[in-house]
Amino acid sequence: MQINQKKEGEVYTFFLNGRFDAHSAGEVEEKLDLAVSQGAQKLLVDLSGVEYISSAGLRVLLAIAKKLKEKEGQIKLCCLQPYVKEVFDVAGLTQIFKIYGTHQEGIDSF
Amino acid sequence: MEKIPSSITLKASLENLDKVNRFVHQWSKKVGLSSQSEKDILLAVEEAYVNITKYAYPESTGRVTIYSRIDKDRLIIKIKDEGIPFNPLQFAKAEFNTSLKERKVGGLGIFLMRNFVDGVEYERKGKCNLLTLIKKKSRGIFN
Repeated sequence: MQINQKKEGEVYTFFLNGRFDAHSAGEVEEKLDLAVSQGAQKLLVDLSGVEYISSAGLRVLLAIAKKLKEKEGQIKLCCLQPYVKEVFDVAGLTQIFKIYGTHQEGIDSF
Repeated sequence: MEKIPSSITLKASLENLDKVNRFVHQWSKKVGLSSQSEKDILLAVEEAYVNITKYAYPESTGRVTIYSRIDKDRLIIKIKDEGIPFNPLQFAKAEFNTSLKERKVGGLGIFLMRNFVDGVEYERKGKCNLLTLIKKKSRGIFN
């Protein structure tokens, strides 16, 4: 999994590229956790480079969402590929996460 | 064409997930699964395999064997472990709360596994858990 990070104003965007599975979940969680522990409150995860996600990936995003909520921050997602969107739908997570079609829409929403 | 083994036996650890994926990928290609169906079976196998690595052998390390075969237009994957008895079919459908606060972080894996394949069977045979996952070549128009 390739993870790139960019700060635009107060928004920290994480661009994920690869399979978001049990193998890569720990690495993604570490990076997101680090940003949150350093005070990031507005996280945008760009999933345009992710064509596969399993429950391990979903679990990381849910755990970070919960942490941020306690700190009155928020995590938002953008650019889900169709299969990833379907996994979110089946898992009932499309109602829980704010999901945007484009990166810019995600940034503007904060 | 490279001959694909009909089974692989591995130490039940997360590091071996890539090998499991490669095995399932090779069989998906052999049966001619659509790319969507291939992702479905990869997802179901990952969820089942990761559960075994986490829970089947609480006090030691153990092994997992994955068997594959083709039955008409279906890929049939059988996963065997010798860990503690675990029947994923006995779990009722997870309750999905729509509030982030109430929503539990775990419990998703089995639910996804059951939803993304066409059939799941479980059998406890002697000291083994046998889980069978069945995936058709392509999804029907109604699913």
